[in-house]
Amino acid sequence: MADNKEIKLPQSASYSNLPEYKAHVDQILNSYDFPEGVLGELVRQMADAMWWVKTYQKNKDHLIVMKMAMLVKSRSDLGMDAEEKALRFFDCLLNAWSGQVLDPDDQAFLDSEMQSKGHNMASLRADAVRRSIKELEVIDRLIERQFKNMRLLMQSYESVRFAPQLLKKMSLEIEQLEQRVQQTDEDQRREVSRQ
Amino acid sequence: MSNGFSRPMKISVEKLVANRANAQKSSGPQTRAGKLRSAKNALKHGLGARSLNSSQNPPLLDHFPELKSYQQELISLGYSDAQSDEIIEALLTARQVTAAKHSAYTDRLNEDRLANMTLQGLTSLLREFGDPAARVTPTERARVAALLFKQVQKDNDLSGLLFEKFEAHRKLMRYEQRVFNQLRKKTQVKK
Repeated sequence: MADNKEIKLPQSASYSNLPEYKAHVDQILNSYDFPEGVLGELVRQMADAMWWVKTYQKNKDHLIVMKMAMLVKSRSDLGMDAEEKALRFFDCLLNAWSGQVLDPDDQAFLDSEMQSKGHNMASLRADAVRRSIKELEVIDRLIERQFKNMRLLMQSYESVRFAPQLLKKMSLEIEQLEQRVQQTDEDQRREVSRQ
Repeated sequence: MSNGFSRPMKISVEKLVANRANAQKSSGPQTRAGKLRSAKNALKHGLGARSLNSSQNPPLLDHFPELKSYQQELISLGYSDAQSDEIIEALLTARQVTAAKHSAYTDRLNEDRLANMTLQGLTSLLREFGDPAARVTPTERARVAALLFKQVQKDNDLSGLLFEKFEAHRKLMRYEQRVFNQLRKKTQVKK
């Protein structure tokens, strides 16, 4: 019977075929002039790390907005039309958070909902951040890890890219050292024969 | 992405209890193939397993034919056979880490989550659904209901579900750190 836990090729894995992900990786590959082979593999890994930075950042914002919404609209509030209101509130918050200008109706709705719990945008955000500080710390650590990964991958990229030049330089240095040793030996021999 | 207030269709408590009850009747896999398959049930990502050393693992390399060409490329660049082997191994592990990260970030299926309901609703449901032959005391029923309710709350807290993904990635962080450090170390040109 075939083993259904077979390791999936990342190239054929579903995420790599997502148009958004594909476009992101292609964009990064393009900025490196579409390297092939090992260098291409390293650039793809770098692109993946960048993808995760973007994703974490987006979801971090999302998490804060969710917490903000929960602070104003708790689950116990959900009634007949309360769910619709909660959805509208969440959307308005998300739009306001992402810097979009809300239409006056939505803005008034958002303000009135926040005021009903004695909040304004700044205080609500501060409260949400305070309540989810542990989660946010984890996300910040994940983002930091991705930056470290990128740095390490860039160093690997440079090593592989300049490996032939480095090896040539090293072999020339060795050759030079050998010549110097040979020269010293000859000089010593000449000195001895002269004496 | 769904927001914190949507209500997707999930598995009902009745179905979950019935599934669990049926699973208890199972005597497990009988065939060798089935046993081999179920031996991997608890496998999460396999990143903690022993080295993937490519030379000892030719079938694994067969899955990634392009890695073989990378090996040739590395040798032509001046890396030794042993070094190129180590780099390939690190690249392979990096791919596995990437795949594990992406799979950990996919949304949990709705069928794996319990629908939203109150503790009272759950208790009355358990009362109706319970096997009349079983003698369950109200305290025991309340305990089961409390446990199920905990799961209901967990499954319906979307910020919690989002955080589950971050947690999964936090657990993978040490593998990332290890593999990318290894990759940098192995690609360095040695004298």
